[in-house]
Amino acid sequence: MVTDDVLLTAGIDAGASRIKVALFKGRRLLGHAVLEGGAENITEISKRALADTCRIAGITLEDICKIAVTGMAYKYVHLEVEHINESTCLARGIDFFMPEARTAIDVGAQKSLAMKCKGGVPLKIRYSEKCASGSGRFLDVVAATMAMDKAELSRLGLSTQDFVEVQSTCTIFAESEIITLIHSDAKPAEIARGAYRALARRLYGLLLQVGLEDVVCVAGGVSADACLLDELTKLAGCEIKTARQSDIVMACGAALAVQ
Amino acid sequence: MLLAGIDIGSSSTKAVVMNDRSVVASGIMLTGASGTVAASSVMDLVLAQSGAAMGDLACIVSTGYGRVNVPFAQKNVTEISCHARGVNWYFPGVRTVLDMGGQDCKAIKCDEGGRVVKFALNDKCAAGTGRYLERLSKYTGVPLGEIGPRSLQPVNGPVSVDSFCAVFAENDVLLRIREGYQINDILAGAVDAIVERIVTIIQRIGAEEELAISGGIAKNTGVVSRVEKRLGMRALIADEPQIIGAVGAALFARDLALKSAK
Repeated sequence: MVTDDVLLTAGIDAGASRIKVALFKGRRLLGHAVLEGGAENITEISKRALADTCRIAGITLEDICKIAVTGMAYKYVHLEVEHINESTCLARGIDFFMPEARTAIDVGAQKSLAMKCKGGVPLKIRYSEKCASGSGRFLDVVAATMAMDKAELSRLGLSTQDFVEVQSTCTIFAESEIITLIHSDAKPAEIARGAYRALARRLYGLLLQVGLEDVVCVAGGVSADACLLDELTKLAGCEIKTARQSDIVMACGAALAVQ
Repeated sequence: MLLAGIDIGSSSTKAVVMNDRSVVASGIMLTGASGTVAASSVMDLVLAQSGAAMGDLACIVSTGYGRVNVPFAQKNVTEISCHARGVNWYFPGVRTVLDMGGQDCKAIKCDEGGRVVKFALNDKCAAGTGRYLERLSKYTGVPLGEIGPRSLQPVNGPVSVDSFCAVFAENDVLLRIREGYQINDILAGAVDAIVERIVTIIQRIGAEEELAISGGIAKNTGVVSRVEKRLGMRALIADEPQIIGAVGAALFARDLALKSAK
């Protein structure tokens, strides 16, 4: 038991847009790194993120006993690693950051994962992965259409409580709809709010499918967006918290899963 | 008696002038920013072609996405009814209509009189619509008109494109291009993916002989031949599949004119 506790393990979360690495000794987070990914050289980026993490922790790569990989792009990580599915990683990560949470949702660049969990074990899971409308991609497209970055879109959305309805589900159709709204008299801030509300509704729908239970923990790269969180809280009517280091929850879960 | 039907679609606006027996003039224009403006322009075009004036028309019916924005139409009818009616006029034996337009895709089951019995519609998602093919054309650099033929000539066989979502497919396709696959093979995979989507819509109403395909995508041989293969049915396609809805609208206009003449 004692020896198990001191294992050094790393988790790589190869997502659609970024590569996240976390390093654990027992249940202690020693270091982490987040690098921009993209479609090219995921193996190289992963190596770099691992090296960064080792440097932060003051160890060498050889000290790591086991490396786990998860995320959409896991199969492009050509290293000696063990694949762990995302739901396990999310459940383990949530258990580490917010053990009191019974419902969790990970909002990623290309997909979302809602789950009911307890003690690091997923009890019920629902993915939204076939359609861009329930992922961060939706906000990317909205921001690009409104000629701003996502931080600006979020600030703009937060500047008002009013919204115009963005009716299209399909991100492609929403793009045209938003162009039409921009050319009508709609206020940009209200369009931004409307877009967040539309995404929040779909995420809420996903949460309802697994059963909403206090406390809800939000993870993933998109979850730090204050405007999205605001809309989601309004809909859910219960406390929704963001994990302290929301973008590395999955990577931590992966490292913990092979402890 | 002269009648007109006008179909304002999300991407193009179509109009026909008909007499008692046939289509005397037809026109297709891009809808652009204003359906009302497009409706007037395409109407002027078909009137000029037929040598008639607006006053010569006994009745005008509008249909399509922008059907309520046609001030000179006496009535508007849904595009589902108009497609069923229009197809019935061309091919009376048809019981299943697949209409694939710029922004939606619908499967319609109709009776011997061209009346709608049942329908299924996808208007929430760009997969299986013209918008998907337009984007595919944009990021592969293959002109829209060549996508169908090229998707039917794979070099080493279709490359699977994981996602039917038009947004995600972009990543998939770009990744495949970078991986060095042949464009024709990637197109074959992408068209396969959306045809699967289209087939699920048809299966919701149950395909019944005979089958007709209308709308702009009926001109895409890659989509049509795959749908035929998946359903095991031959598809009937009019010479100009884009004007079927407008023809249906003109036929409703005739009903209206005959009724008011009584």
